[in-house]
Amino acid sequence: MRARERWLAVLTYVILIIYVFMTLSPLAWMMLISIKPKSDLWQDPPVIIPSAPTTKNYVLAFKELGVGSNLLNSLKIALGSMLVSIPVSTLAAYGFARWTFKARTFLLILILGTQMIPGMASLVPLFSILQSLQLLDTYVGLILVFAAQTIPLNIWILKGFFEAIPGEVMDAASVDGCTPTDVLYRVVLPLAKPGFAAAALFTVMRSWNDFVVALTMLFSDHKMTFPPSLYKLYGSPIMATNYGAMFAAATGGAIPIILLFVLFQRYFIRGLTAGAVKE
Amino acid sequence: MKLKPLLLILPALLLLSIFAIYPVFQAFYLSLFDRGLLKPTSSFVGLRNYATLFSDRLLWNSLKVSLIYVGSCVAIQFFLGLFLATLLNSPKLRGRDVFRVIFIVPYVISGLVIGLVWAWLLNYDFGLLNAAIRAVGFRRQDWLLDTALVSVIIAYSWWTVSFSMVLLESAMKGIPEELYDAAKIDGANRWQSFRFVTLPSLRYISLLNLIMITLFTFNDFSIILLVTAGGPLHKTDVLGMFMWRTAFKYYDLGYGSTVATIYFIINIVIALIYIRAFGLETLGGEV
Repeated sequence: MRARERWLAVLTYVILIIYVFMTLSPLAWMMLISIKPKSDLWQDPPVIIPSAPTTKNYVLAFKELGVGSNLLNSLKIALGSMLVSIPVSTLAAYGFARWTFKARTFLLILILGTQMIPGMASLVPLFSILQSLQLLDTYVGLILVFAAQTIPLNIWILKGFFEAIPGEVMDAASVDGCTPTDVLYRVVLPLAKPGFAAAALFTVMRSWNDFVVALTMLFSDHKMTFPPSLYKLYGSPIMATNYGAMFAAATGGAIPIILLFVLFQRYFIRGLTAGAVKE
Repeated sequence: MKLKPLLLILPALLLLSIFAIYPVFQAFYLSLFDRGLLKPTSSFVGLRNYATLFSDRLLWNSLKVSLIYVGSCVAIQFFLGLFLATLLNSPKLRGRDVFRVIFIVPYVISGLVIGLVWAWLLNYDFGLLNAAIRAVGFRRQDWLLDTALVSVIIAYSWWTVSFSMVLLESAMKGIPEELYDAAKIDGANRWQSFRFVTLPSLRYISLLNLIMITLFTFNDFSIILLVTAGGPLHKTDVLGMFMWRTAFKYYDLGYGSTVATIYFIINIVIALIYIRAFGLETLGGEV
């Protein structure tokens, strides 16, 4: 029995390590290509370890092909979406958590139900809606779309946190002469910090990684966010001449989000499971 | 009627109405017109777009491809996710947090980057996979020809499997220790306690997870766009790919909206199955 347990433990580690390798090798390969000199790129069979590591691809991608400014645009839109989505979700979550009222259940189901509406199928009508609002090819249009896509889950995350705050705490504050707004600012918000971290992280990731919405709703090259610009590079001659620059761009776009995730993984996992696992 | 909570909810409701709920109706409305993408004029054609669509061979092809694609991706994500979650949940495992973080990394990266990486992994001449295969003495394969659909299924599942893993793992952590103790007292071995304690406790979360990943998978085509763009010969042409091409490559907004309406209907059917399986209240937890 003892020996069997030990074998099982060893087997567990072996499988986990194999899967670590399967997870990381494609990403490692992306990064290796990004530092390959041009002469390594078209070797058959491919060179795996770069013969003379170089930063040239990064210079080409970020300076000449403008990936740097695309990333900056992505950042602006991600922060903008956060600045719209979080306050709007906070108000609504507070409304749902603090009061019981007639239409509560209906409104909650309506709001959460919008998560079931596929972003993909909304693309065509959204295009025509933004067109009538004259918001095509603007950051405002994109930010509003991302905010709408993230509000339901954010309300859900924050509502959970607000409800975990005992009613007595809020009542005591009210008795002490706090207005409801005071209660929200002084009592509820500080206690729900992890909820805000999870919601903010989710919103930033969602808009940072979006591809189809930005590709469809933005036209001007100087406004383009990172994923669509990568797609446009993919179809451009650079792919046939120096694809190392493509992979430098891809690595440059992936690293910030990986760092953000590793730093705040606790909140990220919380946000991920918020919709499903009751705490 | 209390006014205060309604006022607090109003901004969220307003944004969602314009950018989430209204589009559903707008899609149906647009599908009744013959309209180009940037053309200001459009003419009412009634249900003609639907008649055209239902006799479009490519629609039926994309529904078939979507079924295979979504079905396979969901099965792989779920079972591999369950397997990894079980491993991560084994007692006395060292480095649990490190393993978990590493497994999640692909999931946080944009599908575009993942698509690019996989397109190049599977590349016939310069791909890592063929290099590995030749290194051990086999002949290289063209992964994006006959096996294109299998390739994109693997790429997508590799990208998103950790979502199911995380969900199932946190649910496993929530199973009371007493249940396992009781099973042990009854003489259950590890497999039996997995089979009779873990699995039944995961019933709710599993169903929920299955529906979520079904919707996610059905509504994403970023990997396919980069790796195969629907080809070769429409073998990987999922419904999303077909719709996007129609609306934004051929600039046919009316016809694209018709496909979008079908898309909505299929999603609603999936959502209804979900609500049927869980009851309305699970949509919002304990509402």
